[in-house]
Amino acid sequence: MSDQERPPQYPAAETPPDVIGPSFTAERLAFLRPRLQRLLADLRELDALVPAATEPAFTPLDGDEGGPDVD
Amino acid sequence: MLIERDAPSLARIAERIARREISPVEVTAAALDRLVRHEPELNAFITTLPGEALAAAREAEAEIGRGDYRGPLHGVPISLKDLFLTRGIRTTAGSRILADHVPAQDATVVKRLAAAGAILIGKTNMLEFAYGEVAPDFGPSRNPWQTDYGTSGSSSGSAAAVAADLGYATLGSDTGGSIRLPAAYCGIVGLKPTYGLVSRSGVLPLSWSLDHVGPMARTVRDCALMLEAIAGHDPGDPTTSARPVPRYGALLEQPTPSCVIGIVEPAEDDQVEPAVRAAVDATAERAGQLGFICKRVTLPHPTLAPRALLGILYAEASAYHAPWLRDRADDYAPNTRIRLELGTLLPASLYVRAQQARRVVMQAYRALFAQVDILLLPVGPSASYRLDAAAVEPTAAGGDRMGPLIRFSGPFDLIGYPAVSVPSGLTADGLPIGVQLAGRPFEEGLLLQVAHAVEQAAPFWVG
Repeated sequence: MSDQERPPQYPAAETPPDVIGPSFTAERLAFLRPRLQRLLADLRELDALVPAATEPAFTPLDGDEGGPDVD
Repeated sequence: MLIERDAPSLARIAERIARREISPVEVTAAALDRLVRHEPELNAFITTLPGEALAAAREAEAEIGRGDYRGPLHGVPISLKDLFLTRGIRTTAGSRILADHVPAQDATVVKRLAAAGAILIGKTNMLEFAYGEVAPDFGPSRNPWQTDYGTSGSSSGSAAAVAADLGYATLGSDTGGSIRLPAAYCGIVGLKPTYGLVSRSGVLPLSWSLDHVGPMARTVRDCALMLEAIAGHDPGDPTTSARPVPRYGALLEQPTPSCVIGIVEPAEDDQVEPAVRAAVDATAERAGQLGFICKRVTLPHPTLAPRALLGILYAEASAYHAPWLRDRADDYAPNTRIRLELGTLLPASLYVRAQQARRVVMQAYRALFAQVDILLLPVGPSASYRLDAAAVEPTAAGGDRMGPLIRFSGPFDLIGYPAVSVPSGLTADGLPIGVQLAGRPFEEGLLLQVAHAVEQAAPFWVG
């Protein structure tokens, strides 16, 4: 398989996200990648189960269920 | 076994203190004595406070002697999960990261318990930052029913302490089941209140939109008394509701209203062990005998809800931990570190997708609670586990290993509805089994009344 045919890896080994800091080495990335792929594969099931236009709920409870602004 | 099933409940000891039949100093000294004897086997505490507790007990004794009785928590020894900030007392969150952290102020709920006169005997062991893993520096808490078994978590030491009668109640936190699961594993009652009922100000967060604070004790009544003391609006927590707090303890003296209980049907893939299923069925039968109308229902979105919760949890936890993950990654337990790193790498779009899924789950539960007043279901799929079982990586082919464990508990953190774990028998090996009851938002009164009725029909603790 040529480089062009190979599916892109996420995250790419040569671009470790700076947000994690100096401990996030290429070696650490290689360790994490299969774990991330397993997690992503499972969480991506949300795409199939949730209509794309659904309004997100960023906190539990809607206003009429007695959220913080309702007394 | 370190269990005394006839040990007095909080409510019972409070009555004796109020009548001055026993003093807070005697009660606290007895709790501390049990703590000294049992702690080496249980590892339930990170910090113990014998001197401070006895001093506070003497003060309570003097106040009560003067006629200044504050209520049922006055002079009663309790503990706190070690993620509640306590002024001048170290608060570690079960992690090396905060091993020497001594806060300058108390969490709001800590202040409220102190105002109610409760005596703090110690800070309890927990999973690291409440995120599902034991930190090697502190080690696991052991189950007082059989000390070669675990307590679940993350409020591990809290459950072990109360079950072993090391204090009469405790506070835990619950993000996916962290009050209710250890309560079930240790045979006590654990209440996760409605999102917004109890302040989280001064509580170290795991996931802001999922975290809840709640009481753990040996009986429903004891949890009701604790909830009454800690619930209510707090200007320090913008998510708290301004609605008035009912007198939950007094509600238990009143007849339980007739209501409809939805019994969650088994599903082929739910991995529920037969003993747990039998406990749910036995509780349903008791509920029917008590006159509640029982109807069979199915659990809405049983696999979507845990995925939504995990998608939110991973992102929010990693956001909170970003500074420490950058500078002190090696100080986390290996599996905590893996989870935090993975959360940093998840796409932001997936976090939003999980919030969309939360909406779908909320709508389904709202429709379900239009048909029933209370739900009855397992807390988790099984009872306790052996501590010598091999440690498992956070992720596997089916995603995060927490998924199946939180199938029944996680939805109520996701949607914010109240839920309580009530002990309901023992396995053939003598380990406790809990069942879960859930209710509508801010209907803790009804939920506790039903839980109390079910509990009283077959009391687990006899004190």
